[in-house]
Amino acid sequence: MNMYLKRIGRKPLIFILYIILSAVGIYSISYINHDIKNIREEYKDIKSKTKIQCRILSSSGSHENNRIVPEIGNLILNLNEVNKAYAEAFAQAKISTKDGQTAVGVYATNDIEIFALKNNITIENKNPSNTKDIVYVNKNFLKKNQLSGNSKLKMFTEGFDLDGKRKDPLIDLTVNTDLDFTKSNFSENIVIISNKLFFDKDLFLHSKGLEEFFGHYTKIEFEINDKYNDDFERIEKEIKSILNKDYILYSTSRDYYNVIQPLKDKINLQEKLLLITKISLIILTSLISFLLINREKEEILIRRIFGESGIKILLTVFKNTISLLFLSQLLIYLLLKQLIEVDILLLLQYLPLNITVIIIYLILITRKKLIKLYQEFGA
Amino acid sequence: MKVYKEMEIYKEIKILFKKPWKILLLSLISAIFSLAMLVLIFQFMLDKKVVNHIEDNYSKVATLMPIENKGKNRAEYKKIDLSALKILEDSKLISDIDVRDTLSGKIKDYKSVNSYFLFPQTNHVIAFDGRIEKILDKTKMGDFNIANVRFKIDTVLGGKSSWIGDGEGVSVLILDQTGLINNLDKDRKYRVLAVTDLKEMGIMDKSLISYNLNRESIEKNNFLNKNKRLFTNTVFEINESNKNSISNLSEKETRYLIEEIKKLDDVFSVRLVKDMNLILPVINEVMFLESGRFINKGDLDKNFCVVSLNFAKKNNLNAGDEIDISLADKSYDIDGYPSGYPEFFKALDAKYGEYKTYKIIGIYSYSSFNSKESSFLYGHNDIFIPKIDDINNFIKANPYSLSFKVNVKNMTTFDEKVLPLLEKEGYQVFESSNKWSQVEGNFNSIAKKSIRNLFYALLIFLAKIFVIITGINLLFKNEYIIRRIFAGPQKHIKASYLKPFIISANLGNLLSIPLLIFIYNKFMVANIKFLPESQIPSLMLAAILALVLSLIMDIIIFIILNIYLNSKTKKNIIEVM
Repeated sequence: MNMYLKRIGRKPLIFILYIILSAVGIYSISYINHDIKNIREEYKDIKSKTKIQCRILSSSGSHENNRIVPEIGNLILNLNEVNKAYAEAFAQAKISTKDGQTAVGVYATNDIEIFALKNNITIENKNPSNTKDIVYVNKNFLKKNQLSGNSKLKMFTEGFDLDGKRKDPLIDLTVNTDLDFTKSNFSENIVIISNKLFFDKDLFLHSKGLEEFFGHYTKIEFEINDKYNDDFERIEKEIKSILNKDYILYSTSRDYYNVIQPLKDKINLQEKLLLITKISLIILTSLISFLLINREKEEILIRRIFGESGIKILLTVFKNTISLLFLSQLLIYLLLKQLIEVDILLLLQYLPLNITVIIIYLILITRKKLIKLYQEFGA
Repeated sequence: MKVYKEMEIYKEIKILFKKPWKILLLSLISAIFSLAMLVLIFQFMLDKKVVNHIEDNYSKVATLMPIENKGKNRAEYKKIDLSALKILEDSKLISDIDVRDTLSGKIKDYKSVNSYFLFPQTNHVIAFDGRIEKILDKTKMGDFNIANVRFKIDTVLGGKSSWIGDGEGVSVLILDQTGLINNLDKDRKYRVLAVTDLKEMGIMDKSLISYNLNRESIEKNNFLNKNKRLFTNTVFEINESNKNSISNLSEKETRYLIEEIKKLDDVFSVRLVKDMNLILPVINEVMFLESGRFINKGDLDKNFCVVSLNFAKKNNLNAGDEIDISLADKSYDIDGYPSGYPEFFKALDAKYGEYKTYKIIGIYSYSSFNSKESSFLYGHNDIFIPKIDDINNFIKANPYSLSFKVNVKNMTTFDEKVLPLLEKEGYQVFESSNKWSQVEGNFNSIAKKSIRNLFYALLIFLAKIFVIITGINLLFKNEYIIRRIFAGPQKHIKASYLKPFIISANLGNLLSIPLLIFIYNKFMVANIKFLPESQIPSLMLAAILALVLSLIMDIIIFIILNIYLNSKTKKNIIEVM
């Protein structure tokens, strides 16, 4: 202990400098780290509040007549980053009735609830089913065609007659009357089926000869999962690469480009600043370490004049200086820990470099010719 | 008598560089501290700009709308009183005002989109000679007898060049009140005057409408009354007496109509804007970028333009391509709506200037569009270019052309103080949707944290003062003591500390400023590319600022070092040793 006090007390300035510098450095780095963490939290919060809504539009300028081929539509709807996907399709078909057949307009959707909301349809059952075998029908249509709820009906695509030569299957559907069409603008001949049925290759619209005309989505809307909001640029590129020149991607991405991305860049910048501060701390503490060991030159010279071996001098000076550094850093760490969250790894990042500087310098001094070492003091 | 001869500067430097590592070490320490401090100061400056930019995105963007609309023009195109505009101009709560100007323009070698927007143009009509291929159906609806007739065109007499050509088939819906459709026969040749069928997206296709109204109907409708001859006798068989006429027009009027349609082929509405982010449909994301970017404040007087997706697609243009635009000396006023096209059947009498090359920086499209109702939107043949300067022509301001911005921090005060004054003048504020209240807390917290960078910079500056003085004391104490022992003059003694400081500080600056510029350019500016160029200090400005700041810091340290030396000189030499 006495030895340490002597060593510090002899020329305390450099040692104090080292302590102050590392304390200020560690404190600044910890503070910047803390700030980055906080801004990241705010950023996450803003990111979750930002909704990027997307729609696939026809690039021809007539969005009301969108015709999105299922190959493209399905690729987009199945992307991991896509959330709350809503798809709609429309086709003409016929339904077999007691009197023969009736032409109907068939809407297909993957989400009955959103479809109902968009078209002013009231849902009477809280959990409407969207399975393949259900067809939602207007009550007036049922009345007119003398059908009842839960009754089975056969639907077939236009162009194929009930008694015609036909290889394609008729579709058996169960009538569901949970939707009230009264407030909507739909005529009574509109029925709604599941998307899964609409795009079932073996069944409905992919019947022979009709793919070309009917097998299209008319509406594809979705939201970007807010988890991926900060990666929108990549997702946008991916979606655009799926779409051909006939379609464009519309997105409410203003907030992404004006808020999310700038904030992300700001955090990146702060992280780079942290790196610069760390490098500065490492260089500065290494320089001070050099000064710290440089003052031992005098002692090393005297001990070498008195014939002490180089390795013994190296070991004792090294042991004393290093233990001094360790102790001081531990003290700084314990003190700063009371004020701010300090990462112990930070110490491990610059202490080894400081030690390396000390070792190299000590080796150089102890291996130097005695006369040359002596001459250095003459300056 | 002067006993002491001042030491020559080169000798002083020679002494200092006897052990160059000392000066180099001190220079390196000085450089690292300066660099850390400058990085923090620059970071604070840029951070402030970033936060302001982000906040700016949440600003209230609005226009003025008359509370009561008197007269026939739509409220969106009614001139705004100068008294109301003065309130906006005088208010310090408003950060930006833009009154967009319109000029008629022509584009060299590129065709305008076959489109319709809000008001009919002369080139929305087509006159042709053709044969009836098929009469699809005939019905009666109200006062009209309607026939859907398919024509095969022999010759287009007058019509937009890229719309319908010779030999093409068109379907014409004839709305008839004069009994004309009863005499139509398949395979017979007719001269037809028809107008585009108005589709929601405003795209003119091959579906046409031809009106044959009776006198009573024409009298009832003011608009038709202006050009009543274009709405009667629009389908007739050609004979000697009418072979040079269209509809009920005279030969001279027919030539005029055909000529005017031709003249409009390369005409566009050019909108001069300061910042497209002040356009309400842009803020509400109805009008969106398909590629590139919108015009912003930094683009004033630059030869940039933003065009519609339909125009770009039609002419195979992409962002980055160039087009030649000639601007006219005027625009046309159609019931208050500023247009590059004259009112239907009126002459295109604007004088066009020289062609100038404009670079397409962005291509816009719409998420939803109604060519008949979209009062704040723009047509597919509207081209945006930057204004020459930031001067607003208030005489032309109407709700459609005016936009103003209220910064997020002033929104509440604006509602309390300015809004009542505007209401008194008979105006209400029509504004964009705003999400600021959702994120206000987050941004206040972020803004507070940015200020800490300045605190860190101050901390580093204090540490630099301490480290430099301590370093000089350690490294150059011997020289100081020798000069004290030999009792040189004060100036000579002080020079043992001050000269190493001056040299190391300058060497430090030589190292730190280029390094800072490198970090500024490669890391800082590269990360804020979203800011308009005008808001980011240039490298030269950054270098000057860094130099000035470094010099100020060095002067402060020099003064403190002097004070320290004065107190040291007062001490006994033995005590100092």
